[in-house]
Amino acid sequence: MADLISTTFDHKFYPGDMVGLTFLTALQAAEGAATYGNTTAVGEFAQATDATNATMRSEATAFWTTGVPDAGSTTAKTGLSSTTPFEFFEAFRSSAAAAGTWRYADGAGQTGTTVTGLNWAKGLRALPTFTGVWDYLVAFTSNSTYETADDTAPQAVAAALTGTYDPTLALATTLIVSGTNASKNGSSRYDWATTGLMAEIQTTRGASGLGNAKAEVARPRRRYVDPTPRASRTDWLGLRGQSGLDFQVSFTDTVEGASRQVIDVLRAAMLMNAYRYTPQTWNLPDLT
Amino acid sequence: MKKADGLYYCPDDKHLRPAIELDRLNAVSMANIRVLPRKDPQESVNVNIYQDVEAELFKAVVQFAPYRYADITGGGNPATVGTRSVLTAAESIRALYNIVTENKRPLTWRTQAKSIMETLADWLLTAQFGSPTATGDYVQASTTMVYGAFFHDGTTAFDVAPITIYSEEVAAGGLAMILAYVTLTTVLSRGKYLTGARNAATCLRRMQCGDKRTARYTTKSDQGTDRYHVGMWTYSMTATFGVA
Repeated sequence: MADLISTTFDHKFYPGDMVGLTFLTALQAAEGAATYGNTTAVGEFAQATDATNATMRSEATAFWTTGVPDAGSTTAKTGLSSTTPFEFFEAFRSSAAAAGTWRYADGAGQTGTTVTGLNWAKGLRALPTFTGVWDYLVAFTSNSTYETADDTAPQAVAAALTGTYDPTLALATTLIVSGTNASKNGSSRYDWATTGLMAEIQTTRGASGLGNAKAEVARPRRRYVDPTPRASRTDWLGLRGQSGLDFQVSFTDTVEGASRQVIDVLRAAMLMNAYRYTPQTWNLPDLT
Repeated sequence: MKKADGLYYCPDDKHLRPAIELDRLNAVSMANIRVLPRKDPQESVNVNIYQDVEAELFKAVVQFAPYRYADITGGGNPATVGTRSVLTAAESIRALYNIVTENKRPLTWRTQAKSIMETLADWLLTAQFGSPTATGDYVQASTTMVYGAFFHDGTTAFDVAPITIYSEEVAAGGLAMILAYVTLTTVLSRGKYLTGARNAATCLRRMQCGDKRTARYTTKSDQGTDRYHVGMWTYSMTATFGVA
């Protein structure tokens, strides 16, 4: 039997964690208004923590709508934004040094340039009214760094991840939001989970793109293009979870300490949300 | 048997020709058939329909969740790899809930979706500190910081090294509990899912109150004492356990 000794917060705040807003909304619908936390200081707390469900939601939402300023500034930034895009906010804490600023996914302090597509897509799923952010993301252009060179053999294309980025299909795993390459993809991989996560917004603001994404996902892809028996292997983009920008699936990832090609069940579950939204929705008849 | 004319005959009935002779005659008769080359040959492709891929996604969730990964490196049958995942279980429940409530998929899908939802929800409860069905180290007092939290792979050797608890997993796990509670209306003990959701909300509220901690609290200045209520729940917390 192990007893909890202590906990330490990281004091970092990501848009991808706004699934909590969806959770609290569903909880209120199920059991009505209720209060969570403690009315007195208990455990590791010096003060009471109790708050109503509505208060919890409004406080979290305000962080992304009103925002907070960087250290040394009074100008609030919102992070999940087309004008001040960041990966997360790192607050000061009493116990150790910290940036006290909004931060990018790469680099220390504010020296980076990128955000993570999946983190932002999760935020937009919980905050579907942030349509301006979606408009900003689908206006990104293809980064020539990750495009396929002319006259590249099909076998080489299949073995690589290069291609032309189309943000209306899916977000890249990494997005450049600052610097000379701002508003371009920062990686050569599509993250197909983002298509499902942002489907609620895309169905009203870019339905044709959602239809095109479903069409691309619906085609089994050859894993290899070479004269060997393995050339018969095909993958579904949605099961792999990611792909190259030309829909390649020959890549490997380090999973459990080994280089593997895997089905990503988490991303598959997220992508399934796309099939709840038009276009290309349908009503399958009962078979029993 | 082979006669002098080079043809084969059945020794019991010379009017019947054995299979080898038929093959031979067919081959000779088809010698003049020519297959003309196509000007622009296309690689053959299947006619793909959207239902195919959704069915593949559904099958993967049903077959593998709460495991996050299935290895397909060698091209054979997929095999789960690694540990079970709270987030995979929670997102799978959410996807299955959407199929059930949309009510546009075959009854076989919806029935199976409910069954898997129950399996995953019950597993999630075993990975939640202080849940109604918690056992071992997952049994924690309601005043502890980890109470209501889901731990990502259900590891039970907590006294070996600190563990990290993510607010996304707490919230997604709590949402999964609620979705199970409102969907699995025929499960007599479904109240445990609502309790699990309430406990998750308690944990999430505590992760929203970094400024109210006795030590290591959120401040407005670097290593200062001016407490700062950010409003958003913190990304993660590290929990250190010891042997009682």
